[in-house]
Amino acid sequence: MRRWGVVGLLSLLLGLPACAGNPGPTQHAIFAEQMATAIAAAQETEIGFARAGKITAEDHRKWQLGFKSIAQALQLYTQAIRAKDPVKTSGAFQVMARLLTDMSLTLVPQISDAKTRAAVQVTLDAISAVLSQWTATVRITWTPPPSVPLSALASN
Amino acid sequence: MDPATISALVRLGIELTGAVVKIFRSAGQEATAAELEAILQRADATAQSIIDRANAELGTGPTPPPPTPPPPDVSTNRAVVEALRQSYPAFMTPAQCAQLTNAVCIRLNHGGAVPWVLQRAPYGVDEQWQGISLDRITDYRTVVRILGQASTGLAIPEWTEVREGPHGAPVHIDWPLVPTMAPDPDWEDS
Repeated sequence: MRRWGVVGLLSLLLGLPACAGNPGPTQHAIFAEQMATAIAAAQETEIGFARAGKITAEDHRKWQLGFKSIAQALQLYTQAIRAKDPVKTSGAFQVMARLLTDMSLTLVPQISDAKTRAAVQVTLDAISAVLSQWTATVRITWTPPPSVPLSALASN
Repeated sequence: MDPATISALVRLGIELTGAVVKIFRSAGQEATAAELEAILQRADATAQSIIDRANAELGTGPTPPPPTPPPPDVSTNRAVVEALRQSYPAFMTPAQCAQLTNAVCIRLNHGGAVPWVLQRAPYGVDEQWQGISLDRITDYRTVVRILGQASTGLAIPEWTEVREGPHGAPVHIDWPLVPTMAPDPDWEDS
């Protein structure tokens, strides 16, 4: 219940920029910066759980591979913004969204501790809410893809 | 839930809320090229710190950052504008503009989506064309208004330097300008 409350509140707040029109490079850049900060906070949270023994070493490795991949996609996003290339911008964004979806679907259920699992899910849902609403804001199509095995990340 | 977790989640919530506020406040505004680059560099730096932190957790070596793309080459556009300034020393005010009957507008398109257009006056007065600075030439869909006689006064060799973007191919401009060119449908959106 609390989880949906957080997501709902964020969605409501994030709906405001959508009313302001199609964003330009500045809005994309601000989103990229804030997204990077949020992901860094999520990474820090996960590391804290891992240190506390709430997440297994193997899962911790997968989490970090996921965060690393999202950060790399974020760098591609900023490059696309610099190039003012809407196609590449959309592509990099969708990679970020897809990675986040994969992490949420495959890694979260593996956390055995219920409280930790709920906390991590809240974290990812909050970031997902940002991504989803941003999708609506910039009017790009993002259909959540089917889950991709994290083994694909592990090969990086 | 332990205090550290609650603290981390609260921090994340604050970050996300900050993102909302910043994006909302910036709606409809565009940063200068320098400001935009500064924001992007901060995003890149944070992303790189995430990668480095992940590498440290994974016990792998540092990942080199992707090559930084070269800054936009605005020299061509600056040369064009400077040539215009020499031909027409002053960019006129909208009021002066409105009195002209034979002005020429040239849009330097940097996005590749909309071709350059040429149109003939008279135009509606548009305040945003007033006082255009060289810095704005780097912006997407920058509009440069050139005032003067359409069929005289423009040096053709200088116009051959007009490009569709910083790295685009030179734009061929027919000379003399003909009044039958179709108006740009989204001209008013610029």
